[in-house]
Amino acid sequence: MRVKRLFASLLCLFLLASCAGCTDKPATGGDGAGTTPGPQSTLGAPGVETPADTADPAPTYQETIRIGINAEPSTVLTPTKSTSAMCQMIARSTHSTLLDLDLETGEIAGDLAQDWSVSEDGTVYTFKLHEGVKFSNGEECTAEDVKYTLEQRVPNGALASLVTSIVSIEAVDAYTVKITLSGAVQDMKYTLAGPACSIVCKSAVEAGGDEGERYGTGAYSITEYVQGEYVLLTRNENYFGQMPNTKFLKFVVYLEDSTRQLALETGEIEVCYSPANSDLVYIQANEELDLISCTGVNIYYIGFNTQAEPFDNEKVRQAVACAVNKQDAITVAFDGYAEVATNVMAPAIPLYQEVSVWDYDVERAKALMTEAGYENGFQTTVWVDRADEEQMAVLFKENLKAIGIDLEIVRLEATTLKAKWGDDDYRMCIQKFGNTGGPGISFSYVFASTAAANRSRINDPRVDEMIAAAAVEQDSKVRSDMYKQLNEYITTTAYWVPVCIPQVFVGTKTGLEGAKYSGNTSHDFTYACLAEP
Amino acid sequence: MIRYILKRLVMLIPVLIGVSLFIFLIMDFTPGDAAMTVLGDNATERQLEEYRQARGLNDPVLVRYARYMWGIVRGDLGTSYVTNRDVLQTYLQKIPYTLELAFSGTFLAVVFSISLGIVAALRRGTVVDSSLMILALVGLSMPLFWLGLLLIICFSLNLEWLPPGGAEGFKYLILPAVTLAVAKMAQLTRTTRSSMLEVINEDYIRTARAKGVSKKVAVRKHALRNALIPIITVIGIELGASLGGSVIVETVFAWPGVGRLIVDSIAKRDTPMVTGCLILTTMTVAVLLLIVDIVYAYVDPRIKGQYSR
Repeated sequence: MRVKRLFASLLCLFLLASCAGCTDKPATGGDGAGTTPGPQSTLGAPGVETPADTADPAPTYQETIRIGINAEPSTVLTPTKSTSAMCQMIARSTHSTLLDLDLETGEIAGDLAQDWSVSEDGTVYTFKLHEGVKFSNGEECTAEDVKYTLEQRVPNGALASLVTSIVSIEAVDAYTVKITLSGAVQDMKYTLAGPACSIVCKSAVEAGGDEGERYGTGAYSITEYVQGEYVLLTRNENYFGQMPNTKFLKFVVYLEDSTRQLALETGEIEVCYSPANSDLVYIQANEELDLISCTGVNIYYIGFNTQAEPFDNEKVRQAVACAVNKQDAITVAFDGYAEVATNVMAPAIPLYQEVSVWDYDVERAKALMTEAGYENGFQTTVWVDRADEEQMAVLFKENLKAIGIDLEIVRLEATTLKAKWGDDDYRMCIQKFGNTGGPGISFSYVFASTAAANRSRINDPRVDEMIAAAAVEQDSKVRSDMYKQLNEYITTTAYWVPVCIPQVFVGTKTGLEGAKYSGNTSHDFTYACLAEP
Repeated sequence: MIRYILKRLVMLIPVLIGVSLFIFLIMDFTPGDAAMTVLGDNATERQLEEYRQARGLNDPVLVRYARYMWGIVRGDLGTSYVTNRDVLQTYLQKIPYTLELAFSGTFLAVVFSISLGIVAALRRGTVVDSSLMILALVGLSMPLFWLGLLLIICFSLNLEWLPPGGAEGFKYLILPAVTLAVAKMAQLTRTTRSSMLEVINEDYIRTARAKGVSKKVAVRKHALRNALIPIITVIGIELGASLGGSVIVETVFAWPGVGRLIVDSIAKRDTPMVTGCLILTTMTVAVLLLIVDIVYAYVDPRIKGQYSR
């Protein structure tokens, strides 16, 4: 890799016929064949000693933490409508939710709610709010705002399908809210802790429309959003919770992966969101930087049109499940930085239990094809919209050729694909799905017959019944077993062929503390801080 | 002359109508709509329907177009489907960056390529000429994103002279402008060279030299002035092309110009934003080409004569 960089620098030198000073670094790097720490080592030494030096007096912190992000946070001013990980990440710092999910431990605790309780039958939630909490526009946050948010904003927002079980919301007094559900929906606490359930200021939204949602009760307030450039957050000095050490958080848009990674290396930013797999080595080799990785929750899967030939035949789908080499797919599409998915639920999701049904076994796949009556194989198409999916598809084309399936790969532009899901010529797809809430979402969002993202067009009463039953089971041990059964059933019938779960990476400046990282990539940078040397 | 300018400006109206109608129709033929991109994969049918209803997406394309054009007549370029922001305001926020990049890139290209092109023409057939032409070929065939990344690695990472991306001051402009200039230089150097070569062997140059005019003056006053028309044409076209945004350079250097805005809006099916931006870009480019035509007149009095007819 270092040789590649040397080559790049030399070429640049050649092209521009200038800059003699450029040769210092690559020359030492080239000799070391990738193992020398590079010239940063001299700078790194004093940096290592600083924590000890500053341990006694209260440490001072860098005023601004800049986070390089990879997509436009278009809906950052309307958190209840935000579907992008980028906006959810920012909402974690600017808005409060009734409950808070600790991204690292998975524990749920009160956020805006000082105390909260659930009735015996699991259908009534009572929240006692912190008193005197102010929105960033100065208004006080009361039970009326909570009621308004959950009644008027959330049902029209990103989590609409998850709050249909809310029957009524009552503001008992100024600081008490009672939510009644139609059943003991267990995942409600995860839903209420999600950024799309951010509590917004009623009067601001009524006066200013959707963008009135920008005022939250979080540790930061949105100072400025410049489309295509950045979102600047300023610490909310009236925040009711623990005060962050950093004064400004700046989320800067760098669409190009390499530029974002280089911005981290040159000190333009302190955090590089999701660096490209091919750039990870540079972050690892740089002593001034840390590479943080966490287990992902995005599952890449092969989906089928289970309502049409040939994939309405369970045996054909199972044959595909046995014929694809997932390990190779990980190497090809993710440079090896992913885990094989053995079932349709990500292990990082609460209540997960291990399920493994199909292994890579070409002979078995051939036998299944024969049993299905397709011993001569068939032709079909697979739809993809992202580069990594296309890379996997190219590999699977070879894998499936061995069992007689001739696969044609069709890569569509993302929005075009969204519009084509209802088409009759749909046969097979490679897609990804990431659960951002409770365990129920892993099934209800993609396998329920009514789900919007039901890419396999599953219409199986048994699946629907099991999803509904597990959603309201109050004993978590029993509920976990129910999800295991459901998982086993779906994996066995091969409604999906789960492929892999890529690791999630974040590059940071060494010494950055306090950030919480999430497998669904909407990390929490509220308490991110960097002690000044 | 003024009549000519007015005529050209009036001709702009049918062009704008054509451009906007064309974009509206294409955006309509493209599968998918803003409701899908904004509301995400888990949106319910009811939500999609409400979204479309609120923005009139269910109306026939010609109705939507008529409504949009009626807005334009009143000076309203519409509101983005995605961000709910005023299109004109968003465009005006981005266009200074695009102008800055387009003009500085073109300026650098003009300064270097005209001198290099003249040198190559005067030293025709020598090592200087062939190496310049090889360099121009390399510049022309080099992918811009690759060159951009090389420059970042060299000047930001290794030399630590310039920032790798962003737009917070003059320092941030240098690398994107140089990248853009390299691509333009290649084309412009070749045009200058061939245009000069055509002129330099003309009889009037030989006559001037025979009358005792120095080579320097002959080249500057007699040859270059006559060779300038095709060069100005290329400069105008190159500048016009960058005014619509240089998507690749903008993406590599995180430069917040209109190119990225338009591409992003196309992906999100944000028809008002795409149409609005392109109408404004068309106007800018049309005015620019008009200026190029006027410059012709000053460079070549014969053309001025044609305009006044």
